Amino acid sequence: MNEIIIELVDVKKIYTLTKEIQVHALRGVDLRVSRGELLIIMGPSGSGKTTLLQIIGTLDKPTSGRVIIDGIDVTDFNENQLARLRREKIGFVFQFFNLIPTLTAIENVMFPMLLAGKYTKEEALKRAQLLLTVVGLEKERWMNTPRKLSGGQQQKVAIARALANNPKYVLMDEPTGNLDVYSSAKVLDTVKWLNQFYGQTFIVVTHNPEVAEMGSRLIYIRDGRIMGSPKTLIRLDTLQLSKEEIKMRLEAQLDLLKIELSSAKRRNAESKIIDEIEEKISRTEEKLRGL
Amino acid sequence: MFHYEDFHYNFIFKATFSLYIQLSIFSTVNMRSTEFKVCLIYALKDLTSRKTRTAFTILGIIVGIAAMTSLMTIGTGMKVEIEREVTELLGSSILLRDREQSPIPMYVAFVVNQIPGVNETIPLAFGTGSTNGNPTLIFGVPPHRISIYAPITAGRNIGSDFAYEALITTDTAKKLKVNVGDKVTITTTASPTPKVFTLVGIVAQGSLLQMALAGGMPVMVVSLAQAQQLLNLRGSVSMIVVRVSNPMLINSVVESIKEYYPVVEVITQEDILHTVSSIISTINAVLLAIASLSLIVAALGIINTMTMTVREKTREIGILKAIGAERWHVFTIFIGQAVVMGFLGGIIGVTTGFIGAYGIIEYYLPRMLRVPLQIPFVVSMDTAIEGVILALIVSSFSAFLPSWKAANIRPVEALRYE
Repeated sequence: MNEIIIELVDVKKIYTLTKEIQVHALRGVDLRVSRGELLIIMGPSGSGKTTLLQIIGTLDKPTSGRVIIDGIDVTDFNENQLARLRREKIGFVFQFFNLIPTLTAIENVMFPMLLAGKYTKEEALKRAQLLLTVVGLEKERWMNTPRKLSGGQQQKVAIARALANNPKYVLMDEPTGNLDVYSSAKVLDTVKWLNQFYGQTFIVVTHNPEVAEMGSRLIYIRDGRIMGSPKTLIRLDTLQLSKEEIKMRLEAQLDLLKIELSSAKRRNAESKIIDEIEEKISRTEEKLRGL
Repeated sequence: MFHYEDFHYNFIFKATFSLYIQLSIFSTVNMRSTEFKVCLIYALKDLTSRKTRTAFTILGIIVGIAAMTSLMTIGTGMKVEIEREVTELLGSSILLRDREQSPIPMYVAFVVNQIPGVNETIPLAFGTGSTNGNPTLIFGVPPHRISIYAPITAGRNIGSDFAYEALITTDTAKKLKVNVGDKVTITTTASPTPKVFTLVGIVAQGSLLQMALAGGMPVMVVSLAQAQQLLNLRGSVSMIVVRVSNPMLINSVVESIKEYYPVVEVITQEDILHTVSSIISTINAVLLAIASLSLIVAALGIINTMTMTVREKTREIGILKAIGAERWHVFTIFIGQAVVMGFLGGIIGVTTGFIGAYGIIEYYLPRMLRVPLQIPFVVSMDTAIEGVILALIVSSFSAFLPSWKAANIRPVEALRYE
């Protein structure tokens, strides 16, 4: 169960902008990720978390240090080997969804499968349909191109696409960064469910504490170093935010949820949705009282 | 000269084509077929999502290929027609004329007639004059020989050597607005006193050759004796046609003539064909060079479109690579678009080219040259295939660099690209 699927050993990344100016994005990161984790990476802008994600995703190579994925040292792989590795072992979900605009939802999910050549066209189609059902995209949206899908729907397709080749782990870069509260919740629920139900490993980079809450482990990165990797999840109050800031955000969140609730009632939404929102409201109110 | 160029052109063409085939086989072997298909489908979807841009790029190829195809069709047709007319008219005959274009004494014809292998000699006299005030080519032939070269389609032949009678071509009749039975007055610089001739018949004459001889001028056929009088060529002729009994003997006859009359220029059918061919191939080469300019413009259009597309799609390429596309997948997607555009442009271009050539041969050329040309319109499979292959080569070669750039975009840079 405690199988290590990602291991970073003293990874450094230096961007050379000019001869004099060098940016140390990562200053020696050691990280191990086990199968089944839902790892959250948090940190302020410019802390190096995107660089870390790119190195874990083999989109970029470290200046020094080793990257071991699924027991294989991939540090010296060439570009095509890395491409094959990515399509077989890594799934990506981006902030801006990044679906292929000319392909329909289902084709977007099928594409990595056909590229990997592991499945026949029929198998790929069946898998794509199942995956879209798993992430909860309505059947009538399957033949739509991304332009005709909402942000939340696009992100669902993106998650389905990330899962297409049954990857070892899925990387998410601000998966809810461009989504409204409701869609965010849907997407996060999906992620949580996939993690708990299927043991799918996720690594999520985020600013959003709501997202951070669902993680099984959280690491905080600052100035190119991992600052802390506590066993238990860091709660809101342990983040480096002032009480006023947290209070302001929670109140805003509460307002947003109330608007959401009234809108859902007006639209005669399912009781399940209303219950969910009400549950979130009570959770947020609880947090506010706890301050 | 023509054959050499022809060979040279074909050689380059075939060498390029075989290289292209080898490259495609090499890349296909390297790809698994489903992946290849997926990339092509992707390329097609991409093309159809930018219909206007794709259409205009294809249009560029169409224009270039159509110009090439129609010029090649017209050029080949013209060459075939001229060769046919020359062969039909001359057969195993040879022509004698003076090196400085001055008249040849009539007796040469009689002497040459004695050379073994010579069937007969036909003296011809021709020069310019005017008929009813219009510049005309006056053509003198022994009357009993006319029908051999030009069948009389209406009326009758000239009665005798000294009759004031003339034959005209269909075209001349139309141009001068005269008909069989009419009387015309002919004058020349050598004989300014108008002489009245009766038109007794109409001859059919090879239109291209008429064009070559008279430059589109009306032609008036009279008896040799009358022409000699009109053109002041007493005892001399402009040219002598020597008919040889057997084509095998042409060379020995030419040798004998050169031996007796070194001042006389001997022209064989081969010489004429050679000259005509080289003139036509020069014209063709110039026209093809102009047509290839439009192909170069089409190539620039493809480079432009592909570069723009690659730039716009930098982010998309990053996504493709992130989700596992290898270099050659990306390369195939972009070169595939160019090949599809080249193929469509080639097919439509060749078709348009043939239609254009047909229009030019049937309607434009006869009006422009004012002679009823009968250039054969031939849809040559070779020309069609060459046109399509040329379009494929031009499009894939011009897309090569942009596609290569696309294939080498690094995923991180692409995802950062906004």
